[in-house]
Amino acid sequence: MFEFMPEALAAAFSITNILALISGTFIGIVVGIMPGIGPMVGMVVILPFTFSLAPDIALSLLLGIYCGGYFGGAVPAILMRTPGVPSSLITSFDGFPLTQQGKAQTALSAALVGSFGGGVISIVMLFFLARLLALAATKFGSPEYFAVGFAGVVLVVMSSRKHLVRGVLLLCSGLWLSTVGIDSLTISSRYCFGILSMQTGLNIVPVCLGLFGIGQTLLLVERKILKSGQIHLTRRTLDFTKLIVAFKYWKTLIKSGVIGTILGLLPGFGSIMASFLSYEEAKRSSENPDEFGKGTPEGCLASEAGNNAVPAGAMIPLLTLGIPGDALSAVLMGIFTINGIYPGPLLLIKEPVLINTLYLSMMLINVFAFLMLALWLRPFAMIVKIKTSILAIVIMAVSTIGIYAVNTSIFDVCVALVAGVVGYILLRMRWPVVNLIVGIVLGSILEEKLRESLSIFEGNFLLFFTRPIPLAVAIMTGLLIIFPFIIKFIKTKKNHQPA
Amino acid sequence: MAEINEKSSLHDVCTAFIGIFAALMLIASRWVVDTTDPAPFYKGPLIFPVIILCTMIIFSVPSIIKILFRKDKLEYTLDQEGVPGKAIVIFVFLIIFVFGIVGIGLELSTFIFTSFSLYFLGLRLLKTTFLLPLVTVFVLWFLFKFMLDVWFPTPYLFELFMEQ
Repeated sequence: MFEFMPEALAAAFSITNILALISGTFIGIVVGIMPGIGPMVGMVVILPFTFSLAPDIALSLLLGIYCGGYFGGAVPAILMRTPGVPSSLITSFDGFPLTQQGKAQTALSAALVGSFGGGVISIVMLFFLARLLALAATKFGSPEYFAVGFAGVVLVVMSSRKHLVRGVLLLCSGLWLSTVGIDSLTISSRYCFGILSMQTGLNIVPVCLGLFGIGQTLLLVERKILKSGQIHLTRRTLDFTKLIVAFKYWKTLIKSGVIGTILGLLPGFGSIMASFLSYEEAKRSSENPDEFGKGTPEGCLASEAGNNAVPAGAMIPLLTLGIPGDALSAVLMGIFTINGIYPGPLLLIKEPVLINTLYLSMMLINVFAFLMLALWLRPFAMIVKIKTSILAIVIMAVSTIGIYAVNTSIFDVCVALVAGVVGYILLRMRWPVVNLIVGIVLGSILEEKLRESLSIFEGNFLLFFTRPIPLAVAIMTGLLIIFPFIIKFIKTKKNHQPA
Repeated sequence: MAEINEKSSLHDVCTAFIGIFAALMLIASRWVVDTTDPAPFYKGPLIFPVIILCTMIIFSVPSIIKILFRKDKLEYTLDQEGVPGKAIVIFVFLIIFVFGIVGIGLELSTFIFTSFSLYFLGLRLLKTTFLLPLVTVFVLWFLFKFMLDVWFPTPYLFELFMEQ
């Protein structure tokens, strides 16, 4: 397990990797602090620049943005009750009341310790769980892969079960879009409509850049200017004496980190759910549950530990099974495959140095993000004052040129423009855009495994259930689908019972 | 962001649109998917898209029925933000910007796009309408042309001048 560590250490601490990590983390914090931008926009805007980098450096840069974004999101949530990233909304429940009481430094210290602790716990879990899962997955054939991939897709849909139809339609749209182009198994052209550029299929980069880089920024130009005048920080840095207060809640920290990692591991749940459940669990097990919502550092710590554990948690199914659990890891999966690295159980065996470098890099990102925010707290907080319309226009220009630069193709830019309009409409209507991305990324894998499995079973789909793993996965997936409905049914029945 | 009206018929319209699109693609599959390969259907290129498109159609049927057979007036208000006038104008600027790269070149097109967009969005100080676009042009030129050495088409206008 540790035999490749010396090489990984050398790679992780190389100057180029450290520079990539610092730059990525810095960009991540900045985009995380800016409400409405977030790590997704940051990652897709930087994406075109990563093609000229070595795969491990590109991954470090993107991972820095991914993890740094969650760190930064807490700052405006605490200081202005405006979450930088959606999951930081829960941090604002206690963070903002603390700021109003003049204890902003205590809230920020708790959030930073929470983020750091959650991140570290999840990386340790990633280190051990990924290996276990990969060992199990080496025994997988196509039917098993299809079953697991299908279960992932079902979980993604179930995460938006409040609007099930929208979730299914977007996921299926993504799956269908993944079929456009030349079919790799039969070399047949599909849905190209005679357009030559479509034969290579829809590239994930222009689609992501369009959906988030253009779609999200079009939303920003409509947004009213934030009232950022209320930011008052007396110190340039974090008040390090307040860190001790946060360490009092170490049990909450561990619990929240574990909850966040597990929810990150399950496709579709995401950081908001992780943050919320960690917060609820901290409230339930706290000695002072009444203080929650009125301003307790424990609330900030729990919520931030929960959401910051998600990135490493999401890496577990991505690295071991090749199944991305959220839009951000779907983009990372795109980067892996573009660089000829195919996530799956063999990745951990074939690329042990890269994987160990990845773990170490994630650990370093947490250290850098903590130090950057602790040492430059006020300058970072002041970023909120930049007008969103300026950022929107600059991001649009950079995204558009970036899309062109990937393949020097105007067709890709046109794809991004269409995706931008679709992204704007879906984001404005609050449809789960993540399903679309997951569908596009998972589509080709699911199709390949389905057709391979059907070839093994000579077209008899029912033979899937004669193999133990697909059967177990199918039963578990079925239970996961009906479980929420059973709970709802029981709750409704209880409410209707006469007192 | 403004509160969203979950009961807005726009959601149903979108759902129906996706369903109709899926139906059209399913019908068109005969012609736009090459099925000359002798492999049986379960190994062929159509099985996966057919399953997906059928699922899309099934899930959109309730919305189509809702739109067609609803007796009360359809409610199209999505939120309190109204028609996205600014977003539409900026998007038109963006399209012009893309084709401007081919016509007048990266630098001039970027400058005009950023300058006009910022002016339109109400940022009318000299530093935002002139200096900021200039900085953006320099950064883009430095990143893409100087550092990444990305090839950009020779501007059409420039070619015209050269010919003359």
